[in-house]
Amino acid sequence: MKQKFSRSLLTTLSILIAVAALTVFTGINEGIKNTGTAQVARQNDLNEITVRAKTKNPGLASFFTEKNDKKITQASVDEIAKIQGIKNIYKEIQFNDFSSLEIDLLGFGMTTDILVFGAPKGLIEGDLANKNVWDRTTEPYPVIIPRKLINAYNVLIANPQNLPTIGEKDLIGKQLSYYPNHSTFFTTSTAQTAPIKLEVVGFSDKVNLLGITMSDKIVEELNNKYSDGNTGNYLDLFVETDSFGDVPRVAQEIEKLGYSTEYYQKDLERLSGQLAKLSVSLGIISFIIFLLAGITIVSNFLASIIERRREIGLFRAIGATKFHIKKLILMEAGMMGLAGSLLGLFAGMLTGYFLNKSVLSDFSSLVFTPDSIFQFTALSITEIILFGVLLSLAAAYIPAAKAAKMNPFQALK
Amino acid sequence: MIHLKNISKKFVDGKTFVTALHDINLEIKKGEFVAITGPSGSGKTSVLNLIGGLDSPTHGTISINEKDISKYSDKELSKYRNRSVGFVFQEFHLEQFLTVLENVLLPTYFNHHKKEDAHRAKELISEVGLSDRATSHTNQLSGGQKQRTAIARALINNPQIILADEPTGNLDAATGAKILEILKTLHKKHGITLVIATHDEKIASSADRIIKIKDGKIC
Repeated sequence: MKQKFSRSLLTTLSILIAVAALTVFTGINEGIKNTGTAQVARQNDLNEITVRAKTKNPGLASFFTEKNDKKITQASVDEIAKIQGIKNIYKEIQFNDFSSLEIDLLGFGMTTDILVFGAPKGLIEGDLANKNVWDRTTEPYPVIIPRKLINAYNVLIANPQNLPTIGEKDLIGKQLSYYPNHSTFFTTSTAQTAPIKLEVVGFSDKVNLLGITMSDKIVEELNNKYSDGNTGNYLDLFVETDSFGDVPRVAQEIEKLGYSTEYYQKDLERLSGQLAKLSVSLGIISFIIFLLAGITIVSNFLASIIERRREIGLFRAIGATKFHIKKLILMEAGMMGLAGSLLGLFAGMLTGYFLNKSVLSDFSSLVFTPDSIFQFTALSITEIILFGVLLSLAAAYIPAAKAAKMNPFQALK
Repeated sequence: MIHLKNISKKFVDGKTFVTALHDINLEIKKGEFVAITGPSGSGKTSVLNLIGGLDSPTHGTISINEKDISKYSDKELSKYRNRSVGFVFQEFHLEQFLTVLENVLLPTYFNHHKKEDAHRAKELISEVGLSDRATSHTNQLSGGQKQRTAIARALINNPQIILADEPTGNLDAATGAKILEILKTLHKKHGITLVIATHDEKIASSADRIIKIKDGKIC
């Protein structure tokens, strides 16, 4: 009796461990997938294509080092505009010289060199609480900060140096002093003149992550006043299509014209590729854990059947068919599978909860913090329970068949 | 009713080829009380196992009510064991985690268990004198009480035949006598064919007929 209880407990425990591991892996996989997809959607309006000049080498370095093969000019805008299915084309420009920014934040005064980009209202109005603020042409000029820039500051500067981290609440409405043509690094730049006042009016995942973004009209004025004037080149174009479905075709036609493109489906495809690798890795680990659990269950049931030989013999003597014996053992396995699965699901979710809490607290300095990196759907929960029960049934099948074949007279001996 | 014709049983024990029964012919009438006697290893249990469908013969036919059970499928043989035969073993073979009532009811779960079965089980428990222990677990019972439970279990599906293999073998003389008395009473009351395998001459003498077996042959 004691032995039987120990074996059942060991079997249930094997299922519990396997299901708990599967629960954690499924939750993480699902969570990362959803978080990644949400982030991709944040960065790309669903029916928008970012058009850039094609560079020989991809990556950040190309921004500073590569000479563009084909610059984006008004002629580019005109040729792209001819493609069918385009609703709007927004142009992003850049201030063409050094500039620096002074900010008083959390009791600290900071000055840093900064790149300044200009974007039309149509592009960023979704990120503004008050859309009209972008039309303001007097100081303080409205400015948008990319969320990733805040993340970069928190992760790369504030955290390692034990400086206070900053969030959107600290920055919104904040006034900044802007010095065009003045660099804190390059001595060749001009001396600091009277500052231009800026006001933070919003945050965006879409705007250029390498600096701050102002109204394109203001940047044009700044270029005329402090730089060599406008070059006629655009940094990026944001092409809005008539519908989400048009995006891949329009992007393909733009690429044929010699530009590079970024859009939701492309980003998502890239992300899916990376996630597939993660899923395969987690799948392999799950498979190994399930295999080990399966082997434990098989050996447990085989041992249990030898121990319960007389019981099986008695059942056969009082009228149980081979099918009855198989059914009894599989029912027992199914019950243990269900109990192990439910307990494993609970244990896995509990582990996931604490894992999530710990990871999210590590990410708390980031502006973009997912609600949870450990997520489930009703379908994945059902699948996990089903997996646990099926594992138990599959592992018990051979022992059950063996028990059913026992000769009742031999078993009763 | 029970007809064993030219029955031989051979089996392999390790590397040795053993002949348990040699060309046995035996007939037992309906309602008869037969004792099969003989020394240990003579083949008594083999005869009971063959009649009860727990084992199959190497040669020969076993007819029960004119039907050859050696040709039965597993399903048919299981049905025969469940409804036509009741076994009483020397080692009782009771489920320790079940109560007396649940043990008695066990065969009904392989025969479309009905609510009325519980009523019959209680009646049988009362007949074997265990009414006050119906809800006790079998590990709390004495040897005699365990064998009474086993007898009640053997009768639950109204079998035509009771096969008892050394039913008093694990009991003291007084308790063994009581068990034999119960078996005889039930045999008479229910008109059941009772076949007991025993090496106890006293038990054998109370049977209608004694069949002696030695070295797998009927003497």
